[in-house]
Amino acid sequence: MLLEYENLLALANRQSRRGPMVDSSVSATAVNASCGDECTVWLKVVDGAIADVTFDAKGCVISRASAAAIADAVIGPIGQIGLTNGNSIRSLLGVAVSPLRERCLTTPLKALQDAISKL
Amino acid sequence: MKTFLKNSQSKSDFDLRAQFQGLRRDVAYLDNAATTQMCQSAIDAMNAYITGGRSNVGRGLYPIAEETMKKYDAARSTVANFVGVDAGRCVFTKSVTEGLNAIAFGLRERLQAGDEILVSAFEHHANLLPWRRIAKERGAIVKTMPMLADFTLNLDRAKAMMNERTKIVAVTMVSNVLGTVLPIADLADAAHRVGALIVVDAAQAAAHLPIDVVDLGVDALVFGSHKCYGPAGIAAMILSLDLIDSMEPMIVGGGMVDHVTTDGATWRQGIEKFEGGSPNVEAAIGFAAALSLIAPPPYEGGGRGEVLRQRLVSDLQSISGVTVFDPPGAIGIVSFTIDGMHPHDVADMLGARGVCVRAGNHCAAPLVEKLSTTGTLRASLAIYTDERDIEALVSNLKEIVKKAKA
Repeated sequence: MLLEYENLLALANRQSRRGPMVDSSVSATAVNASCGDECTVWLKVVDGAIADVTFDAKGCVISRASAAAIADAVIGPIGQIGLTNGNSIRSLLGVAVSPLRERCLTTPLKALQDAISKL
Repeated sequence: MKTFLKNSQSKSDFDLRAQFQGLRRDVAYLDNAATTQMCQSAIDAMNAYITGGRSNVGRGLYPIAEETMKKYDAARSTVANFVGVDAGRCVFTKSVTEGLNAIAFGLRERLQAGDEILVSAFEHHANLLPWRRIAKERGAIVKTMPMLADFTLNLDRAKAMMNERTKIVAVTMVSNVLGTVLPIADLADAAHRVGALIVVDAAQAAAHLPIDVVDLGVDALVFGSHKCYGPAGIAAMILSLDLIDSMEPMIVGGGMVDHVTTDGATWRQGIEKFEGGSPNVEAAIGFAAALSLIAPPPYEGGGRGEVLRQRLVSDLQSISGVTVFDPPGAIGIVSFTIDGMHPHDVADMLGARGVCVRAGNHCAAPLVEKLSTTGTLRASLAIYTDERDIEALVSNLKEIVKKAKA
């Protein structure tokens, strides 16, 4: 378990795609009240496709790593984003995150989905 | 401070841990403020009732129903006596949360616009949200009795906040986050001086402290079974005779009505008024059996419970980056944070190593937000906690912190 955390920690602390996007098309914030995770996602959308994405994630390792992994995975046509639930994020991360951490895992996904729903 | 944990030293002539089948030697269970393991006497009592033939209560007219009624009544007496009252003041509810909601519901019509309800800075959401809701409904105001820098109640300020507008003082007896023991008798005295009622959430206190509702002078007090080595799904709502007579029941339906006509109904007298629906008889029997394990307490001083807690505090304080919240006189609970590490991540890693602690805001967000932006880790002790549990937490934590900072 600790090894998995060590692997996730590098992803959670990665600085690429971090911070607000000045010319974003849309943004949304999701909060996991149970442990204080907060994730904001900014999207630049061109012709129905995500051309760029940045995020700001505060909270536990799981939620921050989830945000980074999602940001890497969503560039391209919105209709082809295959992320629908926690299990799809587990596949991205490649680790067996406990169901007890489901909200940590899915808070960034909720931010992404909320942003897309605003388009 | 006299606690049940101290008392466990006097039980050294038998293996206390053997009374708890749910305790595993490969697990250090330190989440007892959430739920304790169930004692064998509770399991046996419920098993005997269930396998011996069970029935509903207050309905059947056959011998098994009579036996069930006797067992249910006996369980109520045991639970009531545990906190120094007779059975006529003890209502069974499904949880402490339901009991506190029922009291808030029952008192709401006493409130008028501008009246004040005082809660403490230590409240679990269960003893905060019901009061906020009825205050909003009635135009009343909820005010918070503050915490001092040492994480104890500012009693002087609390007393100064009470005045003729104060109608209800709703307060926890022991903080579920910090283990702080609140001065209930002093608060009760101050509340009554201004004509207010005092309602006490004793969920965290009942397994650790002697409680005498009459000596404390409180009007209502609620405590639950599953934090006292009994089954989940049952709690005791202790009410003054005045409140039993005057409070409206929150739950209406079968079992609590006296007379139902085509367009109206009257309620039964006494505690029956508050127990609508079929009661959880087996849980009541288990609850009573569990309390029999920890009562009556001789309350000896210098026992292992306080020693264990103090050892845990000092061992945690010795780990670089760990901040321990240690109010003077606290019992049973130790909350702490680790620099640069989210409590949920640490709890997850400890869990994978067989150490069970709680992390987060502990359903007490207003308090925890004052301590940490991300919540705290919480280790909570029980009558069966021993040195190996403490060692397991501290040694694994040291390793986790060391690796994280490597």
